[in-house]
Amino acid sequence: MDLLSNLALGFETAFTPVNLLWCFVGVLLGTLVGVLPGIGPTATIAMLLPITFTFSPVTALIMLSGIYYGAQYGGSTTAILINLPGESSSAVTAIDGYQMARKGRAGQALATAAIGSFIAGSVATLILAVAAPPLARVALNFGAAEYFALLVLGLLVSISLAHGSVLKALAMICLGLVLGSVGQDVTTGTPRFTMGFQELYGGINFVSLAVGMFGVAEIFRNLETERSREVGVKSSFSLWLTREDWRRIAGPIARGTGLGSVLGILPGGGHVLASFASYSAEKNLSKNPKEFGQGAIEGVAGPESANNAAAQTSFIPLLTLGIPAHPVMALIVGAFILQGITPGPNVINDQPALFWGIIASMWIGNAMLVILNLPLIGLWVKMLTVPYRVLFPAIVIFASIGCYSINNNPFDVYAIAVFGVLGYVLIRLGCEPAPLLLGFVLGPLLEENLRRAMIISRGDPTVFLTRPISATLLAMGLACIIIAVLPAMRSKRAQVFVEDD
Amino acid sequence: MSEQALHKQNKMGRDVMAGAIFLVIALAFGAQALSYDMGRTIRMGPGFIPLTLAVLLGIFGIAVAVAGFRKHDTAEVGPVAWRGIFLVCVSLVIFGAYGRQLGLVPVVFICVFIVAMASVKNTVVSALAIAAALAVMCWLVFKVGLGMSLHTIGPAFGPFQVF
Repeated sequence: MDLLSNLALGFETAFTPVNLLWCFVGVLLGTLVGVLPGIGPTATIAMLLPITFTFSPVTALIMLSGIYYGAQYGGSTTAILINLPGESSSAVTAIDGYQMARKGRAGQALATAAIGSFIAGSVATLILAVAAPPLARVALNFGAAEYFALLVLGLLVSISLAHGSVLKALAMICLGLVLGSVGQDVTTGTPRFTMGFQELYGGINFVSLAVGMFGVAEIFRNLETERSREVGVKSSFSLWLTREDWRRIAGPIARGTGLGSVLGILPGGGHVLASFASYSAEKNLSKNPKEFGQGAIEGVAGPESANNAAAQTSFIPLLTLGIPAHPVMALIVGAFILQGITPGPNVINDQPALFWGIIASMWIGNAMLVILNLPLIGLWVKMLTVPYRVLFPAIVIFASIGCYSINNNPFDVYAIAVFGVLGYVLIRLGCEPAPLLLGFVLGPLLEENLRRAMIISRGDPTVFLTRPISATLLAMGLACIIIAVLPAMRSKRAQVFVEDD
Repeated sequence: MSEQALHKQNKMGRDVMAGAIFLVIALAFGAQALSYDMGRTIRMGPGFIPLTLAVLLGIFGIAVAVAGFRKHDTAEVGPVAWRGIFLVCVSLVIFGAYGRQLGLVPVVFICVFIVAMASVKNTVVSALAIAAALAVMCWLVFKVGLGMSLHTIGPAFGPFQVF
C-alpha cells in the first residue's frame, strides 16, 4: 500500500539518531514553555528559528513542530496544578482539571490529559497522513485566482475566531499586510517603504516582528504588575486511573479527537475552539452535567484530546496548501522558506522524506511526551518556582542573540524593540497581535497571486467571482465575517477566548 | 501622556486611540505609496497594492475610532511599566550596536544586567548574578554548542580578545 511505504519512509527518516535527539529536545522545550506562563510556543519558535539554520530541513522542522505540540501538553500541566493555563487552549482544561487537583486527584487529571492527548495526537496524525496527499493533489490544480481566494478566506476565518472586536482584527490584518509589503517589490524590484535603509530591502525581518510582538510585548505586560506565583500542590501523587475512570474517559477522548481533528483544519485558532466545543459537547451529553466545573474527569479528557488532535491537523493546510492556520504555523512557514523550500502542494512530491519524516516524528514525539512527562511532572512543578525576574532577562537575551544571528544584522535587533513597543501599545488598546502576524506572512503571497491572477485574466477583476472554486471560497470568507458579527456569536466568543497566546 | 491620565482611561479612549494609531500608520504608508508606479489592473505596479491596503487600513482605523466614540464602557487599565520598556529597549539597542565589538560574553552580561534591573524585585546584586549566570549559559549554548559567529570576547578588548 502506498500509505504504508510512505510511512515506512517517514519512520526511516525520523528514526535517525540526530532527528530523534532534536525531536526530543523540541518536545522537551515545548513542554517547558508550555508550563511557564509568560512565554509561549510562538515566541519560542521565533527565537529558535535562527538556530535551526545549521540543521538539515527535516531536523529543523521536526524540532520546531515538537515545540508546538509539546507546548500543548505543558500548558495543561499548569492548568491542572495551579489553575493557570500556560496556553490559551488549556483554559478549558483548567475548569475541571484544577477542581480535580483540589480534591486530591491531580495525578489522575494529569494522567487523563496525557493519555487523551496521546490517543488524539496519534489518531490525528494518521488523519493527516491519509488526508494530506489527496488534498495536495487537488491543490496542485489551483490557479492564482483560487490561491488568492484561499488566502483571503484564511485571513477572514482567523478574524472570526480571534477574540475581541472584529473591526480591530480587520485593522490588524491590514496593518500586517502593509508591513509585509515593505522591501523590494518582487516583480519590478522597486524598493518600497525602505526609507533609504539598505537593510530593509529584504523586507522586515519576520523573526524580529514575531519575537517583538509575542515575546517582548508580553514582558512589558507582565512588568506592569509583578506578582509571585504560588504552587500549592505537592509533587508526589498517584497517577493511576481506576477502572471506573477508564470507562468514563473513553467516550470523551473519542469524541474530542473527532471534533479536534475537524476543527483543527480551520485557519485561525481551531485548537482553542476545539477544546471549548468538546467541553460543551461533553457537558450536554453527560448524565450529570452538574458535576462539570466541580472536577468531572470527562471535562479534562475531552478538551485535552480535542486540542491535541487540532494541533496535529492544523498541519494539514500548511503541508498541503502552504497556508498557515495560525501564528505558530506561520513561523513554520518561515522555517520552510529559510531552508529554501516553498511550503505547499509540491512538498509532498518533491521532498517525500521531509513530508513523511515530519509526520512520523509527530508519532514519536507524542510517545516521548507521554513516557517522559508523567515521571517528570515533579520537575515541571519545580520549574514553576523559577521567578519571573530571572526568566524575562533570559527571554530578552535569547531573542537578541537569535535575531542577530540570522543575518548578523544589528537592524534585526532594533526591530525587536520597535515591534515590542508597537505590540505593547496595540495589545493595551485591545488589539490582538495574531491577525497582524498572519497578515504579515500571507501578504506577499496574497499580492503575488493577485497580480498573477490579474495578468492571466487580462485585467478582469471578476475572475475571482466567475471561477467556481474561488467564488465559493470567497463566499465562505464572507459568511465567517457575518457569523462573527452576529450578536449571539459575539457573546459566546467573549467567554471562550479568555486569553490567547 | 502622563501615567495618571492613562490610568483613568476608559474603553472609549482606548478604541479612539487604537483607531487613531491605525489611521496615522495608514496615512504614512499611503502617502509614501503614492510615489510608486500604480500600473493598470492587467499589470499592477508596485504601488497599487500598498495603496489599496493603506486605504483599507485607514477605513478600518476610522471605523474602530467611530465605534469607540459610541461605546461608554469603562475598563480600567493598569499602570505602564515605563522603566521596563525603557531598559529593555536600551538593552536591545546596545546589543545591536555594540555586540560585534564587545563579543558574546560581555554583551550578554551588560544587556542582561540592564534588563534584569527592569524588575523592581531585582537588586543590583541579584541582577549581577543573573547576568553572570546567563553569560556563562549563553556562551555554552551558542558558542560552544552551536558555534555562532560572534567572538567570545570581542575586538573592543584589544589583546584580551578571544575568538
